[in-house]
Amino acid sequence: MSVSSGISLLSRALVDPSACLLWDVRDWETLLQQARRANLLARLALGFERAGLLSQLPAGPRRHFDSVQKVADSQERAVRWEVAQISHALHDLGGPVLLLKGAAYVMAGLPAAQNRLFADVDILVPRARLEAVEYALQAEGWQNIHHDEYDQRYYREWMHEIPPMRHQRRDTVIDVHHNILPLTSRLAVDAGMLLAQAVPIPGWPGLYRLDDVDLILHSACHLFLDGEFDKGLRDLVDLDALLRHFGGQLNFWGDLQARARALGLGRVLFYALRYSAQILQTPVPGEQLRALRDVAPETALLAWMDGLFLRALQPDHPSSEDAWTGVARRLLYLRAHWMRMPTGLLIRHLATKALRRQPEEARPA
Amino acid sequence: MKLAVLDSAELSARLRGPGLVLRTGPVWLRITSQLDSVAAALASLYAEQETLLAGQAQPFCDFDVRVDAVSGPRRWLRPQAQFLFDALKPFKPMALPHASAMLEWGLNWCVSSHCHQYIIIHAAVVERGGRAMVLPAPPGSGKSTLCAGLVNRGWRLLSDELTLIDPLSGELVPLARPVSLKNKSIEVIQAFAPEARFGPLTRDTVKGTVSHMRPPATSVQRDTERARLGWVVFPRYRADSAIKPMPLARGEALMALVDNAFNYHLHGRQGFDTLCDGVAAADCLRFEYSDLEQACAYFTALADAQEPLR
Amino acid sequence: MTEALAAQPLQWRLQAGSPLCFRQLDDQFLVFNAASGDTHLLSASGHELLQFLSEQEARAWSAPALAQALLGESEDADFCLSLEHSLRYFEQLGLLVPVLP
Repeated sequence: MSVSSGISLLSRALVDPSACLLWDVRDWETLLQQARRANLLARLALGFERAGLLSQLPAGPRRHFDSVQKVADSQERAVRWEVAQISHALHDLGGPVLLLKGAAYVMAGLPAAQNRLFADVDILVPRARLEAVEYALQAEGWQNIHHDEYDQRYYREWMHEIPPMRHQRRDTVIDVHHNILPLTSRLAVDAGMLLAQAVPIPGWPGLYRLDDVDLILHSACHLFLDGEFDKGLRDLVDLDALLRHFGGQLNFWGDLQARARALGLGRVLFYALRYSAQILQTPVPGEQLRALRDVAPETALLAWMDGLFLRALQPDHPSSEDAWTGVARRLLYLRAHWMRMPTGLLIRHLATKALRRQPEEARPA
Repeated sequence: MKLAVLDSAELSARLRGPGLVLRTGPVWLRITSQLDSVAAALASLYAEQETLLAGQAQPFCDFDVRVDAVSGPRRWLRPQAQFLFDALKPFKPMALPHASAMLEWGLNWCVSSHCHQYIIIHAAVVERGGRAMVLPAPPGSGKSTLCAGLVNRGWRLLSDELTLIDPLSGELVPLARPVSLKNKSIEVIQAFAPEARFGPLTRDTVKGTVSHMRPPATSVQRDTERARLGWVVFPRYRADSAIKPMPLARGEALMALVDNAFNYHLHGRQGFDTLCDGVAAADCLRFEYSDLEQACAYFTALADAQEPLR
Repeated sequence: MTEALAAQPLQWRLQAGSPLCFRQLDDQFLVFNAASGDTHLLSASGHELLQFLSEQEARAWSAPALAQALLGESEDADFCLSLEHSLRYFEQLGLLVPVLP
């Protein structure tokens, strides 16, 4: 099992929990270490539970699963509470508040939420409401964390969010976005299109989530364009959970493709499906990947990207690294930044494209 | 088999090579280190702890930790030690002479960060007659001194820092690891219990001078024996004070336990019920003292006045 | 709350799903809020207030309405004011939820 295959003890355990029962003690230790580093220990526990294997596990690993289950349960409580506070704070403003990522999965009751470990809450609001949202949050006890002028500018002008805000009493952090990709990114997604398709969250007037295909595309963007891979496998697990959950729905795969193209995210979708299938055995219909050929990188480049991504998506642990892992992660980090901060010429080019409202062409990876 | 059975060559070989496997309470550790100071500290402080016979099958180790010198261009000018867990470095490096203290703090961190199957309170806990006394206290209250004093006057040590409570049964679970003492407490306990064994003195740490006292052999031998909560005591050392026990309302005692807990919030409703049940059946008090002998005598009399639970 | 709302009577209710769990230790009262995960030590009057609300049907209460239900009088302005203080305080702690118009 070479590192460059993208397969690790952890990915194997996630795909087939029953295989672990034959493992020796050292493999179990390595598995748990990988899972801890990847922030997937709770998800691993869930895998054993779903397979009905918890009672058959050796006692050692079992106590760590019991431990992390407490963390997962309390974090889910905490996210629900935090969302309630946010909803209350923004209620008077009217207008949609789109929950993103983990918070969305929890409030929408999606399987991707189960035993997931959460950090900050991410929301998306229309760009025009950003200031009002910021004031409303400040009025209810959230404060800006970054006071550095450069940081402020970085977040507000270059990225797609106001700087993270921390609640003074609860010490929780909220990230307020107005798009799922930075303003200056080489791929410019029209946030209006996302908001137009947003799905209300039952029981929570004013709160929304991205619609099914957009959830997947957002997860894919986050993974393949953000450049931070220490939680890469965790993000892939989210993606896999979403694909498995929605994959059986009528027209889903066709809608996913069409939407990806409309938003200019064809290649991102290609990567998402490819690596999720390879590493986590996500049941992606073969014709889907074939249909994305025109936006996929050509063979030589693809081999190169495989080499980078399959290493970067390994758990962040020595047992799942080789001599090239560090390089791979650094290159992908640089790539992500290159995609976020293009030269002046390209900004103008993107702006023109956006005005014409045509699907983006595939760009070099 | 106890660690003391290993000769120093074998201990070193394991520590430098495949790792020294040790059990402390319910926690199995694998420790690796190239440092002689760490080997010496382990030999001295963990003599009674369970380790493996040569060739014995390895159990699942909960924590794989390493303490080693930091390599790099300044390693001679400023020699430092690093603690590693899961190949991560959770702390900044410390001066090399602090390596064994760093191991102790690192092991505390492993338990308080990753053993959430227990409710974990930042408190000392000792036991007599089957009843446990939990001593939560912010630093400087004399809890460690009192804890060390009591275990040298017939009380069993469960822990000096990490009180582990099983949320289902409410029982206290021992770790029986070395007791951390600082500054004046070190001399006080050395005078109080001349037979007590200490590890190396570590000077100039953030907390001052630190040393660890070997846990009493019987405490380690009984480190799988749980206890029920008997008392919650908030000690305060006050120079020249006569011993002064002051009953504390149980509601306040519970809130103070919650405040001193590492992970109460993770246990939700179960944690609330377990702590309430425990406190309801326990005596809670604040306790001022200056004379350690008197303080120990007081608590021993208190414990012995009750029917032993075991 | 914005100025526009100040004119309307303020109301609160318990969180849906009965997340409050009370315990008495000696003569003190504790409450665990399963929604927030927080634990609080209550005064005797605070406990009486919350216990009362827990025993009623789920509905929104203003301070005068609560004063009426508790003591049979909503005319005592001081009592109403002090009740409102308590209700706001409990809102801050997350034990009560404000009812938004």
